[in-house]
Amino acid sequence: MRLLTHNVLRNNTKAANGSNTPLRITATEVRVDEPTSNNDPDAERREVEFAKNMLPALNWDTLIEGAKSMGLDSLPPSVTPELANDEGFLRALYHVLMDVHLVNGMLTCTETGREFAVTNGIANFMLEEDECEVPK
Amino acid sequence: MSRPELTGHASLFYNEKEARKYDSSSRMVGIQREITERAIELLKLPSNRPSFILDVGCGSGLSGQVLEEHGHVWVGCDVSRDMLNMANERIERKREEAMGEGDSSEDDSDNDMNDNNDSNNDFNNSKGGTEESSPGDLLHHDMGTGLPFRPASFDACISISALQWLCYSNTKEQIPKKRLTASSHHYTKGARAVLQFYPESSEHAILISECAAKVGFAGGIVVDYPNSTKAKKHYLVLSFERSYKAPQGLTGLEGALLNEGRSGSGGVRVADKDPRRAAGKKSRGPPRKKKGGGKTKEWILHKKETQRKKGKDTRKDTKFTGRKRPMRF
Repeated sequence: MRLLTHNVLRNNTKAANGSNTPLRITATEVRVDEPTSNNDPDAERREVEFAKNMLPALNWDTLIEGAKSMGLDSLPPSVTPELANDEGFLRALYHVLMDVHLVNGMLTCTETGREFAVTNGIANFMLEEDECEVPK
Repeated sequence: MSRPELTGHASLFYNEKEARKYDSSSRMVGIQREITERAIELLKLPSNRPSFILDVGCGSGLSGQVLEEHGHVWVGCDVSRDMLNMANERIERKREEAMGEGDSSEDDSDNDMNDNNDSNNDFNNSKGGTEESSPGDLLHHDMGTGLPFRPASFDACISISALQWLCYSNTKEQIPKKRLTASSHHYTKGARAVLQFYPESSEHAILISECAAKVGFAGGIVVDYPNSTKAKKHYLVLSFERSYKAPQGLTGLEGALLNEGRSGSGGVRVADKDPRRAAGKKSRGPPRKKKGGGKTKEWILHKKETQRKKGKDTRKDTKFTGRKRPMRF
């Protein structure tokens, strides 16, 4: 599971009551892939564009927390407008989002303590019928 | 047409054997590919950058593969673990290929760089193969229980041949409508969702579009090749923009490619004030006159009902209503 995916996840059980509190990662196995699109200006441009586009949608604190628990702590504490237009930063961000995988581990909801296991890179978000949110 | 969703829950039907069969069937692959291409076309994504797409009911990642070819980043969720394992295998394979190429084109410094990367978190690394690794990610999740994503996370959402699974309840707690509404909370960035499905009847199509309208989506069902039984495909095209109107369904020429070429188009608007009325038009219509057949009982009852609504004098419905007259000599 990528950090990008982790960033958009939320606990959707009834107990969490629609809150968007981040899930804490307890990693047992992490894989960092090397960036594969280098030396290809077109792919680089696409990466930068993608990162730029995703940036406003990201929860930066969640990303920092997530990266930390995966063993990365080089992320800046906040994104300044200069950084948001810096190509090098955007490419680094793309790499953090896309190439850092949680292979095995656990996601814990900080609010309710509900745990979601991650095995083989696939997070298990299967809920029991009585845990489901009631649609409004 | 066989309907596996009648037999039970998707996670039970798509076991390992079925998943493998599904993934290796060239017919399935072809159909899924075609539908996904069409779904991407309906999404009208900006072509100059990769989009972040949610694939609900991704199965073995066939649709994800097409998304990759278009350069998009996707997250797939599915209820069947075996299907996900198939998808995972594919992603792993692709990654290994990509890594393999990267290694062959580089010398030993490769590994050092890699170590650097891990320990110092220096991302300004400058190498790699030409083959990109798969930008897909997977979640094991049942879409009927609501989606575990923050609002406004994705650029778009697709779902290929999955929605019909929600129309059936296998246990009494699983109320189809509830499940559908739950899954309709699609949380996209004011963007579009294209969900392709196989409704068993027009009621299913109406039920689905009603749920979508209830959650506040505008859009509708686009029916491609409505006059063909095989090539007919239902796409629920949704958007948060109020003024959004569902595009026209494909007809004619392209249909001929599927050996089923007949023209005509259809569309059920979700955004209409009363979706039932809009959708009802399709099924109501004048009944087709059969050769030698008269008016059916249903038709008569319906006609009487409308007459009554208009306040006209109408005989009450009895067991004799619409009954055949005895044969004459």
